[in-house]
Amino acid sequence: MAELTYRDAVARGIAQEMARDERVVLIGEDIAGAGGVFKTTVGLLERFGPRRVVDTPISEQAILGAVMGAAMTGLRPVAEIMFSDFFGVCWDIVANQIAKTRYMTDGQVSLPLVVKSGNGAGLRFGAQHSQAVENWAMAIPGLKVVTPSTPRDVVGLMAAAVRSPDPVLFFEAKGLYPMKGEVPDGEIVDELGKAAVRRPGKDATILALGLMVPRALAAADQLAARGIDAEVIDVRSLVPLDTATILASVAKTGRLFTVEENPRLLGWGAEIASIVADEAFWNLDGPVQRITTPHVPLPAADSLEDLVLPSADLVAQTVEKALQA
Amino acid sequence: MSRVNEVTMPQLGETVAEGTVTRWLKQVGEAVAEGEALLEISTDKVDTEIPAPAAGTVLEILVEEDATVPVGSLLARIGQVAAPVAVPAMQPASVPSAPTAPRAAAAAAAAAAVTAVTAAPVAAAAPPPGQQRRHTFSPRMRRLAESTGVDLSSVKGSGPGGRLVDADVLGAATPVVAEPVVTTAVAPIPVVSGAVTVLLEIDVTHLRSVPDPDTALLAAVAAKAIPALRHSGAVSTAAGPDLEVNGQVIPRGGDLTVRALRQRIAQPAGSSAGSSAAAQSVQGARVTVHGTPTPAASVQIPALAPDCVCAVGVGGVRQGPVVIADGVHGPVLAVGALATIAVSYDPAALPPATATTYISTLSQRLADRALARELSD
Repeated sequence: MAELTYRDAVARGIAQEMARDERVVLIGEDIAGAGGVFKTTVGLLERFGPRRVVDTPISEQAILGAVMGAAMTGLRPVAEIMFSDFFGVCWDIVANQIAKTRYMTDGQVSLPLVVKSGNGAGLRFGAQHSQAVENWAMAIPGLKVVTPSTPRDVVGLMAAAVRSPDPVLFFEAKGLYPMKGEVPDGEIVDELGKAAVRRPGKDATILALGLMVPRALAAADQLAARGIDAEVIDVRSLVPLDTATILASVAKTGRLFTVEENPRLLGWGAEIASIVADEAFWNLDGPVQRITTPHVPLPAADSLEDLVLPSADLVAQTVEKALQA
Repeated sequence: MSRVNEVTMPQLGETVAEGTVTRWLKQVGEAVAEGEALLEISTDKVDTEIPAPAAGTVLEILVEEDATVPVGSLLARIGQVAAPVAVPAMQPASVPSAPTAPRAAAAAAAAAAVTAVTAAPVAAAAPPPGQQRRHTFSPRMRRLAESTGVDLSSVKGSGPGGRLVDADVLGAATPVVAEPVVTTAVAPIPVVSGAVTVLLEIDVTHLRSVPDPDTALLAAVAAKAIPALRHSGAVSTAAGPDLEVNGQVIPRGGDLTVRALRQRIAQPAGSSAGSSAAAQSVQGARVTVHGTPTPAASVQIPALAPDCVCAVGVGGVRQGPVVIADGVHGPVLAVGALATIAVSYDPAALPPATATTYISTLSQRLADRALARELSD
């Protein structure tokens, strides 16, 4: 058992898979010599050499075109898109090519590739470098979408992503890079599509993802002090989605709250609210409530970024108000 | 001079001719603000609250609770008189007319008097905090009420903020000693020939974390999986929310949580609503679940009656060998918990593929760890 930061866990997860399978390669901007702009790939060049850990010019399309071809021809590549905001210039190859290859070749060609990316806010990087874009990705059939919230899960979900026969977008919560957590020794492999109950409770279900998970847990602590026993579920994987765990929790508590970093419209919580309304309406003891960033571009100023992102206080207040109503 | 406002039964929809007063929220002598809820009514189309058309004091209530009257009927009068109430006919005479200029002052004085007179009774009549009567109930509580026959307005909530929780409603369901069931005893049930019975042995080891995993629990899961038969035309109506378990119809049982349904099954005859529901039969092709308490090791194989397309029998939970996966040494044999479930169906009425869908759905749900979490405290 070792205490690792979230950022170190990224390198640990990739190294675990590169050591296991020589077809796994890593490619991206400044990921080799520099060890990544967020220092998430430190030591990989030294350990696995320049043939498997490759720096590229500043061209996201070139990176993803290369990994698509590599995956087609037998490798299991991991690409880094430095900031997930840059998927904006990648959508043709991601949405139209990578996501559809298995379908359009009738299963003859699958693409076992991972695109990892720093995602979301918390670092005051402003409107173009702070967005939480999981919901952009989950709107495209053919992609799997995961976001770990702990160092241990970074390793386990990275392994699951690399071993997936189909493309996975792996969103690293930038705001969690300095977070420390215990990571067991030895191989860690998770299963995609499994949520984790971080805190059991009986009065309300709070779903959270990535950076919002620690905030939801802090909110649950506040609520416990006020006599409300909240269950916190870390969604972990948006596609595939663990509806069984979510629906079971709603059946238990009757109340559902989602805590989403993304702007409000069409966030992942809206899809879950729809599923719950469809499958568990008669188990609901009140309206599903979404706690999100408002529908605005993220401000860069510290005070304003703090203001728009859902905080533990906001989550606790929203849940308490709803339950007392 | 004081003005009297009449409250009448409103037209709530073109085809609604009458309405029932379900509850008066204000009593004679109480003050009411304009737009404040005065009473609750129920019609064929909608249950709703009727707001007071004007501020004032309730002078008269002309229709009692639970009475049904035609649209347009006079329900109550609201007026501005300070005292004594309930003498609307004498109103014009009781308030002396005054010249225009002092009228405003007089009206203000009268209003103050009304406030003074009514403030005390209203305060006394207000329920203590935390015991306020709820006017609307959540989908969850409504389904639970339909299933148990409990009148929700009579139940006190124990959840946060005085909210109702499942246990409040289930606890309020008064068990009635069931009449001996004679219908099945009178004549032997004719049995479908050619029926197929599939026995499923399911690893329910993970349910050991649930207190006392009994047949009622397994029957609840089996019953809730019945909508998996929905795709077959033969059972379209049977896949509705009503469930038939142990010969009793549980209205809207399919919409209950596993926990609530389990408790409902374990507590067979409910209050009056439950009993009357038991007298009905599920419309269309029947799917039944049998899960009466049995010795742990037993298996219940239900006979398939001719009007049944599928009958599910649930046995007890027992200890037995289970295979657990182990990454290092390969599969390992361990002592776990097993349950055997029998699914009998008529292949002529139910396509075997549909039966298979049900069977695999049921095994999946019983094996899913989410079930234990749902049932955990």
